[in-house]
Amino acid sequence: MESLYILIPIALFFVVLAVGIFLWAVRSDQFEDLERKGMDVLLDDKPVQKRQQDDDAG
Amino acid sequence: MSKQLPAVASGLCYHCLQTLPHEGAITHSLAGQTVELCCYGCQAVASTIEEHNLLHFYQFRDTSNPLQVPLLPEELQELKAYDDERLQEQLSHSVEDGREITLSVEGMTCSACAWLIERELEHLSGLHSVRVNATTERVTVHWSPERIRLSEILQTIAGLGYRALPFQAAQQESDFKKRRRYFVNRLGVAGLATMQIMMIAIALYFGVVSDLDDSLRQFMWWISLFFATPVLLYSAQPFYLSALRSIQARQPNMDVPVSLALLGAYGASAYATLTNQGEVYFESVSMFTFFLLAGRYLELLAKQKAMSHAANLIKLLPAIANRERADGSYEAVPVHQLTLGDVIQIPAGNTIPVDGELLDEIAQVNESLLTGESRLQTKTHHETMLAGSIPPLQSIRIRVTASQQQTVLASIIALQDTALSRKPKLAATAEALANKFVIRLLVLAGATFFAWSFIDPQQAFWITLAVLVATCPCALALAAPTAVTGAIHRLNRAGIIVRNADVFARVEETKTLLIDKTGTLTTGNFRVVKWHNHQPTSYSDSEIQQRIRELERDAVHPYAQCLKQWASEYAQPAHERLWQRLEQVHGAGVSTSAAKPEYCYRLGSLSWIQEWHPDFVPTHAQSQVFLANQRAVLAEVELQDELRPEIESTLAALKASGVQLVMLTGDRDVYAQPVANRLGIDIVHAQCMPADKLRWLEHYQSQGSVMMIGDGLNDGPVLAQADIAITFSQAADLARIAADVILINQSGDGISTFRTTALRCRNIMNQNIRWALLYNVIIIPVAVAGFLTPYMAAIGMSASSLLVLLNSLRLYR
Repeated sequence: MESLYILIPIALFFVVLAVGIFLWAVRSDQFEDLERKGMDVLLDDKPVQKRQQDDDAG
Repeated sequence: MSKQLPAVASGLCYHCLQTLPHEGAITHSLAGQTVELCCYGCQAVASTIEEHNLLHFYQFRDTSNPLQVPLLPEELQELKAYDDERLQEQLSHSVEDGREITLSVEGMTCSACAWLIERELEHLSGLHSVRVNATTERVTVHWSPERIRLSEILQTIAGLGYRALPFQAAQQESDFKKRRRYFVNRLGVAGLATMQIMMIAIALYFGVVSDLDDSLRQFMWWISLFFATPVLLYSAQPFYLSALRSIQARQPNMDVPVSLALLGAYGASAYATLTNQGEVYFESVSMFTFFLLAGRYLELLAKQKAMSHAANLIKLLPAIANRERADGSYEAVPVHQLTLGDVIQIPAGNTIPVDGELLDEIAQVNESLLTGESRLQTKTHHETMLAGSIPPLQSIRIRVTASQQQTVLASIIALQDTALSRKPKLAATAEALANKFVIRLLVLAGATFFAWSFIDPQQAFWITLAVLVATCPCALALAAPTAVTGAIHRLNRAGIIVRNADVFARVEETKTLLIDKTGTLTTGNFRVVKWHNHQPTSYSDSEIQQRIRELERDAVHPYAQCLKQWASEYAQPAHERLWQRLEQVHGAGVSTSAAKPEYCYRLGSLSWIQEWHPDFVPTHAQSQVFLANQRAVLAEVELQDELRPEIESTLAALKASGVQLVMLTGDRDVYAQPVANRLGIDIVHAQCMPADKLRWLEHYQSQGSVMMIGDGLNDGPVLAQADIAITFSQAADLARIAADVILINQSGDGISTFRTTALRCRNIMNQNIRWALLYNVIIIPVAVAGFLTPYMAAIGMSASSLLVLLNSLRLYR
């Protein structure tokens, strides 16, 4: 039971961290379009090289 | 990219999913597969997608909705006007190394569309970032004007088959974003903290407690206090503010008892923690806050959806106008720079940007955006042309009489904005009930405290608290909002927007359904159902049809469109024109102006034909259009309104459930009656002016609750006064402002979906209220007698709230 005195504060630290990350995510507009982000996993296929070339050209 | 592309249903264009033309589709090779496309526009888009390695689009797109590919070369030319610096000044704002602009994109149907636009734009150099929001159909672009022009960006999007135009975010829209963020932040904090508190509460509730030594228990209380504090002081803010406002307005709402209960229980628990005696209720207050907050948030989202429909109206006005210079030439100027008295030219098919007076002799305009009426309106010299209307046939010149902010359209939008911000009076009955309940509870709690301070002064405080907690009207407070939120969510998915949640309570008592005809029961299109040749010996059927076709060649009346199509199905096209000049007579028909009387024809209404043939009586009473020359009447045609899909079964179902069906129409009885007969409507009031419609509404309201379905400007007042007002999304703005329910889906079965969902919502709400009351009535004597340990009180309260919530969740299924 004594371990709880250590474990619970550790959990507490992580929750505070999670809340911080959540607030950051809201601030950076990540909850604006939920529909879209779910699809990105399937679609994301960014042609990295192509982009690089374009940037060089431009 | 060797993956197999998914197939689409046969007979549909592979790209836009519209039906393929009869003349044959374009065969195109896409990633080694042969696909059929409907037009060169789609072919161009498909090729671009393949060239740029974006074939993923076809794999993951949502194929349930067809795309619109309206690519007009002239439109692409016009995009250049957006490179104007002064206009960009107004539409975009300057950011670090470049500018940022929000575009509204038409034609986006799914997330794959958003992905496609994003990837395609990323190919462009000079573009710093692109963010596509599929939910609101907006694209935010950050670019360097020196390296790439805005028109090129717009053209790239157009090259994919979407129409992108700069969008001025309405003030309200950014307010909504703030409100949304306000709630998401609080909801997230409440959710995360509540999980921790519940975890500890479980340990405290069950068994573990007996093993716990006192210091460990107090330690857990302190942890709970730590997590509950942000929930109570941050997440629950909306309730306190709303309670304070309602007290200021001297109309206390449900948030007053909610705030009292929250702060009371929290204060007592905090006191218990500090003094290490008594009981804590952190888990109950946190959970309660979280659920209530979630309900408020969903309600906000529903309102916002209605809002974005309003905002899309604003973008319908063009941002560029052709102003006439002193020498008669034209220059393109931003609309906001137009001043009163400027003369502008509007090309055929374009939207009129500001109100103005017509300078041409005569013009026809489509005012459907304003009135919902799809027939063209004829305007003469000096008449006012309204912003938002479209002259489809010829280009017109107008003199500006109202600036951008003072147009009729802008005033309608403003009116709608205020109507939208009106708070829905969420199930007022439940609130009133809860209010009365709360006052009695406070009295009872006071009495309990008084009595116990004589019996056992040490226990008095804790027993009183148990009474307060066990009987906290949480379940009662959640009863209505959770059910309503569930129903709103469910209807939203079915394409039905509920603007005013009050209507759920009224559906059950609905006695009468009033329905407008044109645009509501019927689509406004016509088809020929019957026709009769009066002179079969002198004219063959096809000769008559050929004459009708020729006479209607330039006419724009909706009957004319239908007749032209009908006649050309049977008659061979004439090699040469029978008549060089045709005369359109407003309100009557079309006539020829030939020298010899036997070549003189009229095609039009009965009264007009009777000017030539006073004794003529039509064979069918319902015939509307007649063809005659000066010697005889040649033919008569009966046209019928096309019915809205699914309306027939919907009305039949309503009638079967005992609702009286009444038609209110401005049309004449002869046209209204056949439609009513087809649909089984018993009572028809024809030729109603808006004031007449209102009188009929009052008449039926004296017999019971009335539901009204309409779509026109003239239905606005009736919709506003009806107990339940339903309209369609393409209805006139005034109708949409007045309506409680807006059906996005054009099919008529939205009405029955709404009705069944509303009835279920009402049932569940009643069950919730009954359960909450029953629970409180049982628990009060137990608590007052001091038998209830505070743990049981807290568990009881949470359980009854959860039960209400779970019951409401059934609406989501």
